[in-house]
Amino acid sequence: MDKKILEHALTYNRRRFLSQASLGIGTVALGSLLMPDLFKGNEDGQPRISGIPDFAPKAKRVIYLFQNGAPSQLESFDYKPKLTNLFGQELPDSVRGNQRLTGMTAGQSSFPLVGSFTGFKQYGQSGAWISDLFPYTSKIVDDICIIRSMHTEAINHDPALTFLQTGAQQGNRPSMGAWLSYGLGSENKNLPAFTVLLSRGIGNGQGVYSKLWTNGFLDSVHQGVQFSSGEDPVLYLKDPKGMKREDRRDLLDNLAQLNELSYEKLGDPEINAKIQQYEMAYRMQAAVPEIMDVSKEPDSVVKLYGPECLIPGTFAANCLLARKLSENGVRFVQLYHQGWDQHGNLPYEITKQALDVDQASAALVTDLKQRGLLDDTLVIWGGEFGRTNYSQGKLTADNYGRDHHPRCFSIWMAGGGIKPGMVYGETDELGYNVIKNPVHVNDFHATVLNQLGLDHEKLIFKHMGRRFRLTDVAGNVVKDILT
Amino acid sequence: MMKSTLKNYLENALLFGNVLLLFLLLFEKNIELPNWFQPIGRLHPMLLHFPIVLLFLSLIFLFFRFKLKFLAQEDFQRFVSNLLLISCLSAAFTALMGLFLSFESGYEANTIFWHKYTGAALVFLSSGIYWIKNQDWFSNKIAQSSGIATLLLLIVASHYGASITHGENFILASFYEKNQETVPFEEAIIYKDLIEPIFDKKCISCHNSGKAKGELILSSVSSMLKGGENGLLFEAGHPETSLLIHRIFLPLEEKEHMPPKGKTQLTADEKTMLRLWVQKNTPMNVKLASLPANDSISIMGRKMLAQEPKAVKYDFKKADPDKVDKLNNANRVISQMFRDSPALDVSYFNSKEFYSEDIIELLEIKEQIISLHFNKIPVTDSDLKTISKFVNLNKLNLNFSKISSRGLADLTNLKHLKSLSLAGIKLKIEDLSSFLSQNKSVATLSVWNSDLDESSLNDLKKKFPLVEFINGRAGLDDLYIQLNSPFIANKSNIFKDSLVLELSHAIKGVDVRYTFDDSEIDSLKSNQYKHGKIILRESKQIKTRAFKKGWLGSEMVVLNVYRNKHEPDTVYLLSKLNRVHPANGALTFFDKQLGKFNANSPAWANNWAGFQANDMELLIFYKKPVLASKISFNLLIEPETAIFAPGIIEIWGGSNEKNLKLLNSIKPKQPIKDGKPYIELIDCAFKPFSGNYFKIIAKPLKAIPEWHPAKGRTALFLVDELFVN
Repeated sequence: MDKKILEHALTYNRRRFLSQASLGIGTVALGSLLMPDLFKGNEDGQPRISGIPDFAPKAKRVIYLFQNGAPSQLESFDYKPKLTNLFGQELPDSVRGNQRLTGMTAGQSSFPLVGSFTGFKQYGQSGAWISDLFPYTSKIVDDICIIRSMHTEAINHDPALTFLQTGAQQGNRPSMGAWLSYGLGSENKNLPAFTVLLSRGIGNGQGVYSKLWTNGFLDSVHQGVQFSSGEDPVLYLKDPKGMKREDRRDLLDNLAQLNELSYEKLGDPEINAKIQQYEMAYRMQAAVPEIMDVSKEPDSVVKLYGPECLIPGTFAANCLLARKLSENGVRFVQLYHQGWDQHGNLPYEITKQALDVDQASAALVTDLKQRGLLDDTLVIWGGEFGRTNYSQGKLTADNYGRDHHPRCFSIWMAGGGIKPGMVYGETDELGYNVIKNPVHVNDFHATVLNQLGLDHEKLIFKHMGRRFRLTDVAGNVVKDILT
Repeated sequence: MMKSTLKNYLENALLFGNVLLLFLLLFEKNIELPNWFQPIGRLHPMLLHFPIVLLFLSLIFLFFRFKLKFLAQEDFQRFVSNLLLISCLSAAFTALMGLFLSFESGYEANTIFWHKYTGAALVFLSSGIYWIKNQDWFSNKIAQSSGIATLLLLIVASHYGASITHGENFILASFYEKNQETVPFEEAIIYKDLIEPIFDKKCISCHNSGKAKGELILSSVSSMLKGGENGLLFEAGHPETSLLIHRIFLPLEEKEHMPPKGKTQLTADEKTMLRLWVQKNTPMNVKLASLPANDSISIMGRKMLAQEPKAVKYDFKKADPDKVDKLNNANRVISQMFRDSPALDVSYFNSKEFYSEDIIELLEIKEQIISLHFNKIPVTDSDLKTISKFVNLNKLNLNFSKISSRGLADLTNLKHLKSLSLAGIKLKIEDLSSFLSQNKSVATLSVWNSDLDESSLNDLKKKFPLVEFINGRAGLDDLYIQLNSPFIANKSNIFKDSLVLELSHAIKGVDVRYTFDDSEIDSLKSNQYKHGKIILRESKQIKTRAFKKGWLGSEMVVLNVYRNKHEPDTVYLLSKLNRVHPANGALTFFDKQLGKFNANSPAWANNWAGFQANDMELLIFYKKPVLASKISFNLLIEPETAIFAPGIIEIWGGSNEKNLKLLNSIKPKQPIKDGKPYIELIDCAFKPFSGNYFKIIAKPLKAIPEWHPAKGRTALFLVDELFVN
């Protein structure tokens, strides 16, 4: 950005030199001395972003149902009967290897293995094992692809969450949704390309912060816009009482003129971003109320998502909204459901958490499918890491907890050109390490971008002298799970 | 120019070269070359450029040799003669090297054959010209015609040579770029589409009918099954003993490894595929799709098919970008499918600002549009007539538009239409049937929420087995699922004097029933909630359930409203709060914010003020004295995590903070066993007292009871709100 401001200043000076001082070609040479890239065109600067996919996309949009706090894979999609047989026995050192543990269990003298308190059954053509906590998800198993071999690098919520969202553990990079907005632009000009919806379950929760939907070093128009559940879904969007829409229009027009002036003077691209955001907000004033209104949904849809979907702020309501936003061309809808951090009291809490999300998640896939939208909408369900196969804290016959576990976790994806009815990857019989087809977070990012027609190695932004990608310097598209 | 002795040597060398070349050509099959010939042979591709240029030059000079003005110039004649000699010599040696090189394997036999013999012929012809050029009968005409013949031969020989090194049709390849259509998974045949392409790409250049190394020919199924000089290629079902598998899995350094070192190697996937194919012994014409999805060949096959680039090609031109730009606006978004693609995708938004012209305008770029999305846009049947002109349309979304079932007839001529979404449109089975029998291209049809009954839809599915019908989760209308519970819709459930209770429910048309006592609630006898009829003047507990036709009644929910008659003017917190439960400091106790369960999680602790290490000491002040007789604590009790009620509560009162008297002191009831957490209102009543100051002291339970694991320790207590009445 500094470069753009410099460029502007130089352009401005060049123009003056040429027109007023008539110093001619010498000035241009001076300009090029001051700014060596001046005649190089685009090739060394920022790659040209056209908003057009690199190749034929499978998906146009993404809905990410983020299960914040990290749901246990051992009580959801990764069936490990052996753990039940080995109840209370020590986790062998050979399995754990040199895996670092969090401060919460590192001091534990014993690591007693514990199996799932709830049963598992096989469903669908793929014969995927799904726990009894997810009866609705088990009904759509032929529409989803379960990946049991995800692994990450971070062992704590904030870095892991930030890693999954931005491709880096430190929070200064753009979020996935911001990258997509940057790479593909907005589909519907009346709504932001990237929106965020939050909900909470009763389980032990972990924070979500706006840095997770940041634009990082990208232009701020790519930032995620949070829709909240209260009277004002988008804060500060409503006009003050007594202000007419025409007045707002007048105000914006005048403001834009002023901003235009200061842009000419300073050349700061953020000023342009500001003008665009004001205009977007103006259009959103008309579009958002219509989207947030769920009162016209028929009973059959309410039954599909569950009656909670009409209570603003619930996960079910957010799923229904996600469908509506997606239907209206929002590129990336990011949901966070908090409360999956079951260090203790896992059986009780995870049951409640699953109850919150199971029906609505499955409903979303079904609803998109019946509207013919699942083809080009990619739905992702999952948390930031997995949970340990041994109990944290006291292990009793019917109660236990699980600590953070980065070496394996399960997620599922549906639609958007992902193979339906598939189970991918495998963990060892104790559910500790991935033994087949590991999928690293970078690979996951590369795959998501690939489905949207973007080459993860070409979606680049140059910042502070270095080229950045969502996948940084790694990542392979997981071709095995593509249709 | 050139000493005659040297010239003699060279002439002899040329003769020797010619003879050697002839000899090698004749006895090629019976000769085995020693190892050190190989590097010499490999110089062929470098050296060959010399004879091409030299021959070309000397032939030009030969052409003009008989011109009168040159005939007299001796230097010219000698120069031409020497140049021709050197050219022939270089040609002869190049040809010999080429012959050595041809002993190495791996070249396309047919091309080699022609290159070899045209090359040799070139050497013989040019050498011949050298020897006869000074004969008397060698006239201008003969010189010119033989020159042209040599030139032609030169061109032909070089062409074949180039084909060997650069591949067939190297120069024009870009014009012949085949539109490689990949085989869709459903149609792929295991041998033809998965095995044969491996042979074609990696093996056939040596194992073809022309070259047939090791007498193995892979160009046809029958010859492949015959095997080669070492016997059968494979033994079905036994990869471990099969020659093919043995050779391809040998380490690269092994002499018998196939393909030989230096050739393009098989990928890991290709090797695995060949091994699986031999192992499973599937018949030649079996389709990939007929195998179970978890079959290893099926999995590998899908993987290999997916790797092929799936380039969709359209034969229409790109639309004028300016035109597209002009047509693009906030309610009609036109986007290019992907870079370099001429295809366009159009989505309409904002139903209120849609007019039929918005479609008609697009006719300018009708060829390029392959997908149209009219989700909830009021498109009508007459618009369908316009839409039918978008001849390349592949995807059409008309969900919840205003078209009728009969309008579909207009879409029959869309020959590329693959996916059609008609959700939310009242469809008639006969219209749908006649549409599908006329439009054979539609592969996916979304008919959810279209008023079609189950049985006629099933008939349709049978009639059009190739069409995928999407109709959502059936039977939802008849499905009984449980309602969620009613909730209090008042702004706050804490009130000063009275409260008009508002019970509400998210779903329209539900019947809310309630009770204030312990009686069961049912949908018939219990009190029916009516808006504005319940006026409460005291703190109250309400039990309520919701009912609606077609749903199961909700669970009973217990709701609380609290009266707080005297809100203090100032609150002073005189003691320290527990570290993890600071809530909102002194303001917590009268902020009308109630806490929730799971208070030990930082995310949920917001409204709970906690005390454990010290007593709670709170002084509340009223500018005007108030008459009070009860102060109530709203407490969270969670035995599991050692959150109990306070051990002792004392209320002090007075008209000045220095002079307070004890109004009452109580010992709240404690839980007697482990159990679920609950929220409890504990009252501390006293004789009506009028004063400006009240001091509230609550002491944590000093010793947790015996039954608890943490027995004997000091318990924590949590309070979110106080009520003064």
